Amino acid sequence: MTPLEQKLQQLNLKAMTRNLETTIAEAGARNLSVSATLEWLADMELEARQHRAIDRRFKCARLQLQPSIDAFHFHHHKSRVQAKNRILRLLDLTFLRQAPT
Amino acid sequence: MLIGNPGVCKTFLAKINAWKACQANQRILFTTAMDMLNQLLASQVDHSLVRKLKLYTEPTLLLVDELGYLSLDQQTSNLFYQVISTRHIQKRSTVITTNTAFSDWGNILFNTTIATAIADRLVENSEIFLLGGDSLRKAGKNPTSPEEKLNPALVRRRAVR
Repeated sequence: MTPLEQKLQQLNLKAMTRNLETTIAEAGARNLSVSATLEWLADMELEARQHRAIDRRFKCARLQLQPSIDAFHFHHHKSRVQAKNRILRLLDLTFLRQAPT
Repeated sequence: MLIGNPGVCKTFLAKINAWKACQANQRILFTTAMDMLNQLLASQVDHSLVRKLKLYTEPTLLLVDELGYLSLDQQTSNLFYQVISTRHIQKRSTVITTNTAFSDWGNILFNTTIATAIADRLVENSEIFLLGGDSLRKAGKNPTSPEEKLNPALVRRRAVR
């Protein structure tokens, strides 16, 4: 592990540490500037953190499943067909945004 | 509110919503009504009720499954009221799945007074979905959810990131 990788790890920047070597090599091949390379690495870190946050939310939620609306049979009964737009509208989570977090 | 007979995918629909909310990085909790109320009852014994109530009142979205399968006595009805009332005051969203119409809530809760108080808070700013039809479980042996049985490929189990 290089000194830079060690320092990134110390700063708890796991995704940046993991991707540093390959990203720098690829950035060199693409002739990216230093700031563009840094931004690319920062984006990787942010994305990895977001994924970890969602994983934590899922575990704490005790859901056990990650179901999709694609598996919901709207045509099983007319009540579902009639409510389809309302059901789909729920998925935009507007009702959560209206409440304080 | 998701109201309908057993096996019409109330829980599944609630979980779809909850997973969406998880993906939006929101704090969610899924529980059955009886599990929540048993936990709260037990917490009264060791004097941790206030702390335990927070578990159910603080999530941005609480999903309470299977309300109405068992009737609640006075103590558990009161505890259920505390959860709903606190969440109502704090303007936090709650999803409830039940097989019991509002008109029969007096039978599953301790009395009509508390049933009305709870229903009033739940109905305000609510969406009510009445899911009709026969049970989707009838065709299967023991599916985790009716929809999962019909289309298991579309349900991702504990996806590894």
